[in-house]
Amino acid sequence: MEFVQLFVVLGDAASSGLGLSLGQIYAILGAAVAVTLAGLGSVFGVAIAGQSASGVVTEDPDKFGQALLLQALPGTQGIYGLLIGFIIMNKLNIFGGMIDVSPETGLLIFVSALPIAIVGLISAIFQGRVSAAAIGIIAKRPEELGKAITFPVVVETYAVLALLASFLLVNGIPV
Amino acid sequence: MAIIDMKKVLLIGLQAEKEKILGTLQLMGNVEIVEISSEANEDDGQEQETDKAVFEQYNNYETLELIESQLSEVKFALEFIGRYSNIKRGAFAPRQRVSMSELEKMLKRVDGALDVAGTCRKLEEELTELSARETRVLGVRQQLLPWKDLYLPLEDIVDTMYTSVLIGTVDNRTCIKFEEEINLEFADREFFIQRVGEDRDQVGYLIIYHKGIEQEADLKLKEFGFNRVSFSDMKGIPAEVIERCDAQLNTIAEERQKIEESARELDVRVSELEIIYDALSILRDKEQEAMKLLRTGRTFVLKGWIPAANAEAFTEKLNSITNALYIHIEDPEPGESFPVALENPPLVQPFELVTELYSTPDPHSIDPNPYMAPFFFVFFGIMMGDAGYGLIIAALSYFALRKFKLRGTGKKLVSLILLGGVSCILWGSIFGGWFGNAGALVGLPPLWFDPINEPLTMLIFCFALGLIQIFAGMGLKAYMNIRQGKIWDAVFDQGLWYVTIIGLIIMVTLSKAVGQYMALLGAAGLVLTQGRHQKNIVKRIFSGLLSLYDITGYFSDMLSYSRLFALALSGSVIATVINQLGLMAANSWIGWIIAAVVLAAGHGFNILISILGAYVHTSRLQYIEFFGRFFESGGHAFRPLRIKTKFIDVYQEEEAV
Repeated sequence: MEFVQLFVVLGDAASSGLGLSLGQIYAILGAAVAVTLAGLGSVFGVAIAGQSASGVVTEDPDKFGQALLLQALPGTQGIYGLLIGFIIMNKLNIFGGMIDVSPETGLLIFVSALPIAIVGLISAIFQGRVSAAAIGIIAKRPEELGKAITFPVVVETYAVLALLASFLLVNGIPV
Repeated sequence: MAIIDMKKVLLIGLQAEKEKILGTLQLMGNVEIVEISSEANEDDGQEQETDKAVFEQYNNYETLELIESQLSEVKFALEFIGRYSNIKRGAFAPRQRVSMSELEKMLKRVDGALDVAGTCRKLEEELTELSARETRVLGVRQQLLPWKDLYLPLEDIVDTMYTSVLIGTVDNRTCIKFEEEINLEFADREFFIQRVGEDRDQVGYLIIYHKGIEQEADLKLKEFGFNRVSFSDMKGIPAEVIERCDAQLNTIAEERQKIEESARELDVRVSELEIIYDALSILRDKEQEAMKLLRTGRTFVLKGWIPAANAEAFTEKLNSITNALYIHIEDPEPGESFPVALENPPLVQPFELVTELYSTPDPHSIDPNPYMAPFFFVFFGIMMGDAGYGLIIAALSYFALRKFKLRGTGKKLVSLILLGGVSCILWGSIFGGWFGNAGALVGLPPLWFDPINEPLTMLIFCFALGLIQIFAGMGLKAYMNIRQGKIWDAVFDQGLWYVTIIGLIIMVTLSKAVGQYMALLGAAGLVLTQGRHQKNIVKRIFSGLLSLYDITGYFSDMLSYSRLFALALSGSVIATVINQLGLMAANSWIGWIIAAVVLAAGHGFNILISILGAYVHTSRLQYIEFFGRFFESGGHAFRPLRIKTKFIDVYQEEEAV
């Protein structure tokens, strides 16, 4: 409850200063949260995997391609977050005269962004750890790249599902 | 279109002709030699003892070691020359063509190659030595920099009878204050100070004072952290020493240039070295395989596998080169495991790569590639989902196939991307994706529908595709069961699930009543049959009931195909955003240039990311949702003794004529 009140207070303060409606601010907050959290997750994920990858490449520079492939896997969550962010921006028509939305609609858009924001953040970090371990596989057995890719991709499934949920939610909100 | 039949080969020949026969096998490249000793253990003890008495294992570790060491020397030489060479050799440069007999001749020139390698070693040693010298000289120079303006020779910095003479440094942040205070305090006294140089963070001073004021002076110096320095091991005026150092550094640089020049001069030997490297590695492969043979005094024994189709040609060829030879070819015993080689039409071959990265199928199961290929093709296209991107990657990979003579895995990968590109063009036009929304902007309508506007239709379409693949996987499993004579397994394990799932689908789509009964019938059948391996009647029914829980597995597998939509969505929305950003800039001629850069870089990046995503997620659908239903791994890939080269193409004279 207090959380919601905080929103209202923040929203009022911002809207009076910027000439934006409360609904618009909620919606923009949704876009920001989707891009930021999912992006942060990918930052952690590719960083964890990148450290392992560097270790392997130190030993055997020929494995750069394979290691890079595995390092890039946790990077997709950031893209999913950006995607939802853009869909929200498009919905608000931010690039050409913003349309007004009611506070309820704005809050709905904000909530719709949460699946990809939260699942993206956490899944990317864990996927990064699995990727790091998978890079260990190719360090010893480069011929098993197929199996090494599969483990991190299993983690990503849930980011994909969250992306889908966020998309369907945002898409389904009438403005 | 399947796993190739293999035959067992037993070959007995004369010692004297061993090299010739192995060489021929290597040229033909279709026999995998197996080690005999491990098989002999399976025979009963009596026989094994006689085996041991008559036969012995080949032992040519020494030859092998020699070849390996020669190989590593030649490899070192190639790397060393490559490091300093001005000629850049692309990874895809056309290879030299060398005939078999030339290759033989080159083996006699190994000593020449080793000489080159020796020269390289010597040059590298000299370079290391130069670097060590350079480090030393740089160290001295660095050390002397704070004393650049000192006009006294270093060995003269010693106390006299009445004065202390010292040099030292002060941190350059406090030096101004230091000088001020000294000047203030010792203005009219027997104290001399001079700044004689500085480096990055400290300033050097020469200080001379009368021993009578030693205590005061010491105190003041300590206050500013004056760091006294002594050079017991160096002589001369610092400026001169630094000059000498610089001169030395110049000579070192010159010498290094000279060495690099001589390394560059070795460039002309590279093609020779490459041929010798490959000749040696071919010899190494042959010697390695020879370790698997058994020998008697005069003869040798070879066991191996050969594709059934090549068996006749193999016998003929060997009989044509010698007649002192015994060859016996037979079918494997039922259930005996044999090496797995796959044979597929050219259009399916690229997809073998996907399976190769997963696992080799069991020799008695089926080759999944022909069944997996169409699904991979379709899914890759849907996930990329952009006809414009498809055109670009198809054109690029077609160009790469034409221009570079790729082989093996590289060729399969590029062909796979080419086929994927074709699929993208197809699905991109169906869903109206041309560089994101660029097609829609110029009025190109989708042939079917736009997934972004009708997400639910798209989801259902994806689930339907998933269901088809799941059913295909079950069908293949049923086929394998039937082929192994387990017809009831096929009926109970796959047939009943078909009935149940199709019933459920009819229930929610066509007719509730019909579907309901069909699903119930299937489920009842499952409850009755799925516990059939349990002896206890209670356990049997219980496992039957529990098996119904597998429906969640089928359901979640089907949902997993929603990634088709999600990835298509991500690619096309990002592409659309790139277009928007580009168009925003495009309002003047400079704007158009910026827009062109944004569009090229953005779409380039998006293509790379989309290929990566489409490839890994399509593979995942094959590995987990499809292969999981029927694939039996555990085979080992067929690895015949053949000619493997790194730098050159080898041809036989007969072919060339």
